[in-house]
Amino acid sequence: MNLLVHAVVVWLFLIGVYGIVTSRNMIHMAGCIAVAKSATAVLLLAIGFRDDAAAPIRQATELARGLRDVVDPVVQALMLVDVVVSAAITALLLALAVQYHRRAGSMEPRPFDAPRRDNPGAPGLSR
Amino acid sequence: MSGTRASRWLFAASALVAGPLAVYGMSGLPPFGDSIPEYGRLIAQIALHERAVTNLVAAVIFDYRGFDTLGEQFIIFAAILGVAMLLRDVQRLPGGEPLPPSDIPHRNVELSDAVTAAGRVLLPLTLVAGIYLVLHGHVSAGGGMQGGVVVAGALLIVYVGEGYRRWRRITPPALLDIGKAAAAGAYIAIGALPLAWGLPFLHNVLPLGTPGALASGGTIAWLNAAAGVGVAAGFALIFHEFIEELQPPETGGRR
Repeated sequence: MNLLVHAVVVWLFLIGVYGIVTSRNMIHMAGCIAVAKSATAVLLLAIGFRDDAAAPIRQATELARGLRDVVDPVVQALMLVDVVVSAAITALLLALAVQYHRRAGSMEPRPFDAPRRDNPGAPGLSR
Repeated sequence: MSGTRASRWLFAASALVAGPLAVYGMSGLPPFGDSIPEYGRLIAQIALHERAVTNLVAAVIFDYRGFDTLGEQFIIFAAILGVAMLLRDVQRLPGGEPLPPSDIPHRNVELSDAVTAAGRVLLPLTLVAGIYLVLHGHVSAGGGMQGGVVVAGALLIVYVGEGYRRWRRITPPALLDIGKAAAAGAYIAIGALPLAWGLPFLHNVLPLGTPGALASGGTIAWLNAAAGVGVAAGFALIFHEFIEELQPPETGGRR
């Protein structure tokens, strides 16, 4: 079971990196980064998981009746932060893609002549 | 392209080394489902008694690791700043020449009555659900950040159902700017409160209340609400920046 979880983690990460390496489109690339990043989600939740344990939400009655076993709240907090931050980072990457398209005239990651005042005929402007 | 082929080979070679190495590196971890790390186990044991919150995740985010959440709030802040700086003022190049019109078709879409009607049903429900998630973040499943995203999504329903003008009137960017900044400031102010008593930054000084009640957890509830406002305003700002990409200048966009 351990091997399976860790193999999934590594596979998710590598398939995401493979997408980044071979990507021909900036938006697709932002998606691949999200896939690679989700490997950490599987690893963290696997570390914090515990058989026959409840979600880390307690009831006030547990004060008197004794505490139930719960899964690790720390990794869940890490994941929560990760989800919010990565949504904001994805927005940043997509804004970069918008700007890239405006300058390069395409979504394909490749070297291009940035349109400048002294180079008005560069591909970015001629489109 | 040869560049792509070379990078594929480079990837294959690195993956063959790094993949098995990573699996081997993780093989020392405790068996799956057997136990949880000591730090999490300890917090799960003490949080209910010590902080009077039932949502242990909220206790971690807004109390035990509250300082890390402050950093996280500023990561979001920086990301939104980046989005705004990348997308604002793009009509002109550094040299002062206007950019050529882009080839995205002008989107002045007629709104569908069905979408508007569905939006009017969904908006209040989603908004209430989001506010509920924010306010009860320290009591039950949910929290400021999740609820904040739901509130921002509810506001987006206005754009989908009512069109750009109403969306802009209901969420003026100046107000969102203030909301986002005030939320970040409130987080620091609540954190700085204990300094007046000579206690550490983000120390939980407010009365803890009864576990399970809305007024419980001391500063956790307030930090949770600040994070909710911050995330809601922040994501609404991100939506603004992208939606304005599709709008003609006369309606306040920059197409």
